[in-house]
Parts: sequence; structure tokens; C-alpha cells
Amino acid sequence: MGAGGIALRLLVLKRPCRKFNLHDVIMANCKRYFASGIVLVLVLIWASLSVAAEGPWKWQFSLNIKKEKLGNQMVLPTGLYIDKERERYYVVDAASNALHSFDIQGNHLNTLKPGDQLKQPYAMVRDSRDILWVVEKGRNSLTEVDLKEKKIVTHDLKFGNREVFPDRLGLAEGFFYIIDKTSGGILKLDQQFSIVQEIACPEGGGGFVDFTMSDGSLWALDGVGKVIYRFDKGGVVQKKILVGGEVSFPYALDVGTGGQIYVLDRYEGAVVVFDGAGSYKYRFLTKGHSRGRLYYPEDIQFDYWGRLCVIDSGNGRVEIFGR
Amino acid sequence: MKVAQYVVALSVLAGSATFALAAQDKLCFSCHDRKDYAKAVVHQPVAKGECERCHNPHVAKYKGLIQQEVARLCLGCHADVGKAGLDRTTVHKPVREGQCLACHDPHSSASKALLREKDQKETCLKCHTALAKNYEYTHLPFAKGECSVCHQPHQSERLQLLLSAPDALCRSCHKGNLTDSHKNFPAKPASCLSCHNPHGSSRKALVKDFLHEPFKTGCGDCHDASGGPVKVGKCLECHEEVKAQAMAIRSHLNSAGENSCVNCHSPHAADGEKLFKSKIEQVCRECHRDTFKNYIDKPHSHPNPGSCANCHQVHGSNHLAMLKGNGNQVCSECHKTQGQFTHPVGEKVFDPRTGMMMTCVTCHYPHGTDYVFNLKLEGSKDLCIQCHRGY
Repeated sequence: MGAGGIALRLLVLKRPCRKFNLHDVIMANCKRYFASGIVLVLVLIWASLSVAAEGPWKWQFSLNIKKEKLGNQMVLPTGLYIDKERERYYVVDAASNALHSFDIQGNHLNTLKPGDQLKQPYAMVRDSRDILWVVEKGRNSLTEVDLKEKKIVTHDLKFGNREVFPDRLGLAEGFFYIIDKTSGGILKLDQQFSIVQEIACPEGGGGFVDFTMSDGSLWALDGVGKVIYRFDKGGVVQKKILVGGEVSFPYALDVGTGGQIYVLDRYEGAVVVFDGAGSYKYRFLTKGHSRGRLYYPEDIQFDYWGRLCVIDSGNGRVEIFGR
Repeated sequence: MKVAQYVVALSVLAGSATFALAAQDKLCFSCHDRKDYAKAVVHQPVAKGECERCHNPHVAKYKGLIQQEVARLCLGCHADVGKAGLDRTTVHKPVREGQCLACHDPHSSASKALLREKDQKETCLKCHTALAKNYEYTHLPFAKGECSVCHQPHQSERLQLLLSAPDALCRSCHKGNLTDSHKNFPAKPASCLSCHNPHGSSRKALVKDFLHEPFKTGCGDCHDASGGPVKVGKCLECHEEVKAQAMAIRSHLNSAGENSCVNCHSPHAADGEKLFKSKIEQVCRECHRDTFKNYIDKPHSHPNPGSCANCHQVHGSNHLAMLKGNGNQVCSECHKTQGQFTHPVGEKVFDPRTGMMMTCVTCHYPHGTDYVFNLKLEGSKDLCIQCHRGY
């Protein structure tokens, strides 16, 4: 942009010095405006190409904790819960067995290690009663954390006779939605932990690795199959989008307010964007460790303030991008 | 009149060319023994005496006075091999490396397709040394030395260079009713290679050599009367150590269907005691294709990594990328001096970009990079100034 602006200014200042003549002045102005127009068009093309390369998203801040010594930092963030009511981000740190809270400016507020009892927490939600629900991989449990009562209760989940291995977690309309690693399906549970619906990955797929709720639909990502499915409330497939041509190792997804689908590519450290019909739009971010780069990212979510949050597990942070 | 002139001119030209070739032919074979180039199958340019199609008689950049690099020279005529795609899912290693002469003799051979050995099998076994030459029970095409009945020699969309999907490939010859030949099998017989070795075995029907303990005594230990698939919980009832590993931050319990164990393991018979469906690298590659592609394509990858399980905890791990430990613990298993004489790493050293502990994988990426020592960036400056900005 800077270089283009300087070129434009030079053209405007560089006037020929000669005797006044109306025809000459008109012609000179025409030529000057024509040249300026060409430069302006070139600058606009250059600017639009830059936007296309980077996408419209810009790094804003990281959810991170200053490290003074080992054991006091965010080591392996795996889950993010965005609390609209309290304007908080909660980050689940699986390796530190901790839950970190941040305000929406990214300032670290608190680190919770409830009773030092969590064992490989992976994902969390907070319900309307202020209870934290945490998927604990190390216990294979959906664990209830009541901070007011200082009470922690583990709940082993069963589907028939089968033990459930919980993974990603969501909460909507009073129901828990959990990916069961043993089947690759999404289980819908009521408050008594009874499974009221199973949304199985269609035959031949590799199992769901992530899901999100948007506009009354459930969107689920089959990682190995590299397919996005949109289900209606009855669990019937409404749409199927193949992303294999653009994404190397799809690991998470979210749907933007404009209906665009954002897919996280874990291997490439990239976010790949598709329109609602599944057509590829653009991609941004790359693999690495510097600011705005991703290393084995885990999850992607939109917050309530128009920002895109990427859990950058390998770099021990959550990167927040704004438009 | 003009036509007659053309005919005469063309005849003179053709005659000159023939004479020139004959002269060239004669000249080359005045030193090179002709009978070395006259086996049953002769490369067309050799047969025509067109030595200069491939060689420069005076001087060349390449060994054997050939006009171009071997692969480029071969593909100049055998364009079909290149057109078939040298970027397909699986490209045979010699093809990928431009080593056409690893399998083919460029002049003449006793075998079809100018193979260096007496048949396909002999040629293949020169590199594929893990395969036995003969088994107690040998698959007929393998016994006949006809590897290409199942495998493409150059490239394929399938792993292991198969001509088509494994079951379809088997069924292209074995067209009989599988239910009859698999009595009491609890489900529709499928995934032939999970039980049968396509080359040979010491068991009848090419059943693989290692049997799952419960399978030795029957089906009832795992299968119930419903005849449905065995669920993962059933496997974990016996394999408790696997359950403990799967209760990690990341695990490989991630498959559609009722039992993700059988994604990698054969529940009945296999070629090794861990009952992998195939070699472990092939099993991993089924899903992690891009990792393997990167490893192959990049100029600098970790040499001889051996099994994936040397570094990765394949059932489940609490470390990034399902490693067996952090980026120092895993590497220092082999690289004993790492961190003692080189850049500081470990619990007291932090990467200023992220605040994370410095480990070997902060700078190195063993699955392949463009830089020496598998460095993530150019090592004389670009990588260092990522952190050492003052320099």
C-alpha cells in the first residue's frame, strides 16, 4: 500500500513546466488522470491479491500465560468454552490438568485446578446452574464440577453395555452432545445421562472428530473420510460436503454467521474456508511457531464478538483473530 | 517429372540413413561385444542399431555416455509411464528416484519388459527381501513369478501398488461363493487380506501364520449368538493395557463402526504376533497418507526411522502428535548426546515465540523438510533469528 501511494503522489506532483495553453492543459490533465487511473487500478489489484493471500482475518491477541517456570504455563490447550454471559474464555489445559479463564481482551484471570483432581481434562461447558461439565480423558468421565459447593462428581457413560469414551463436548437446549471415540458417533444425552439419540458416522467413514450446532442444524466432520455432514434435528443427513481436495488432515470445524464453513487443517496449520454450498473460498495461516502460526492446532470456534478462536495446542496458546 | 525427382531424393536419403545407422551399429560393436546385446528381448533402439538415441559417442555429462539423466531419457520414449502420474498415491521407489535401471536392462534381457532377472518375482525379490521365495502354501501367481497379476510396477492410486481395491482384486479370480468357503463366519466374508497372506503361508488357504489366541479355540470367546460384529469393549476386556493407553488425551479410538481395533489389527490371523493387518507402516499410512507423502517428497527426512511405533504411542498418548514422551525424551532414546553439546533444550529453556519448553522438535521436523538435518527453516540464519532477533 505504501509503495503504491508514493507512486501516485509522484505522478501528481510531477507537472510539466511550460507556456499556458488550454488545449495542452486539458490534454496534459487527461494523460495525468489516465496514468493515475492505471496506477490506482494496479494498487487496487495488488491490495485485493494481498487480501486473498492472507484472508480477511488478522491476529488480535493470544490467550496465553506468561511463563516464569515450568509447571506454571498453559502446556496443551485442547478445549475452549466461550461464556457469553460472563464475557469469559475458559481454556482446558489437558497436560496441566487445569482450567484457565480469560476476559475478552485476553487477560488471564484465573487458573482452576479443582481439588487437584482433574485427570487429563479435554473439553468443557458451563450450564445455567454454574456447573462446569468437563470431559476427563484420564477417567473416561463426564465430570461435574460445582465450584460453589466445592464438589466434583464423575459420571461414567454407558451406551447399552458399551463403555463410552467421551471426546468433544457441547451443550444445547439442556442436552449434552458428546463424540464417543469408540464408535466415532455423536451421542445426545439428557441431564440424567441417558442417551436419547445417536448420530452415527455414515458407513464407510472414519468417525466424527468434531461437530458444531448452527441454525438448528448439527454439522459434523468425518476426519479420515474428509467429509462434512449437516444433520437435521432428527439426525437425517441434509448435506454432504467433501473437503479432501483442499484439506490434508481436517480436525475441527465451525460455521460462521454468514454460513461459511471453516475447517481446521491440523497437519498444515491452516484454516480452510468453504461457502455454504461447499465450494472452496480461501485458506489462511500456516504451520509454525511464530505469532499467528499454528502447530498441531486442536479446535476452531467463533466467539460471540465476531472473532475466530483457534486452539493452537502445539504452541500452548489460543490464537484470536478478528476481521 | 517432379514426382520422379522426389522419389529419387527420398531413396537417396533413406539409403544414406540406413547406411549411417549400419555404420554406427558396426562402429559401436567393433568394441562392444554384440552378443551381450542380443538376448531374447532386445530394446528397440538397440535392435535398430540406433545407439545414439541414448548415447553420445564422444562426450556426455552422465555415466555410460548417455545423453540425459536415466529417467528423463527413458521417459522421452516411454511417456506412458510419466503420463500415468508420478504424483499418484503410491509411486514405486525406483520410479520415484528415477532408477529405471534398477529393474530394467536398457539393452537386452532374457525376460519380458527387459527385466534384469529371469522373471518379475526374481526382479522384485531383489529389493523386497522380507518376502520368502517359496512358502509351504504359495499363492499361484506368486509361485509363477507373476507379481503384476496384483501389483502395478510403476505407480498406483492404491497402497502397495495394487491394481485395484484388495477385495475386488481377490474376487477378480476367486469368483466362487465365499459363504460356502467360510462356513460359520459370523458376518459376510470381507477384507480378505486381514486373514490371508496374498503371497504364501505355512497354513492351508494361505491363512496367515499367527492366530489370535481366542480364534485358535473357536469363535465363541468373542462372537455372541447374534452374529453381529464384536465391539471394542470386548477387545478391551482382555487387553486392559490398551484400555489404559486409550484413556489418554489423544487416542486412536476414532473410527466409525463398532470396533476401531480392527482398523489396524486382524482379529483372526496375521503375519506377526501383534496381529497387524499389514506392516505397521502400511497400517499407519492408510490414514496418515500426507505424512508419508511429505516424508517421501521432502529432500531431508529422518533416515531409517524404522517402525512408527519407535517414536509414537500408537494406542494413545498424553503428548503432542501421540509421541511416547516430550520432544526431548523421544529423540534422546537414540540421540544420547542431544542437548549436552548443542543448543540448550529442556525444562529450563523456553522458546520465546511460544513460551513452550525447548525440545528437539522445536527446530527439527523428522517427517521431512527442505533443509539439512530436518531443520524447519534454513539453519545458518533464518531458523536462529526466529528467536535470536538481536542477531
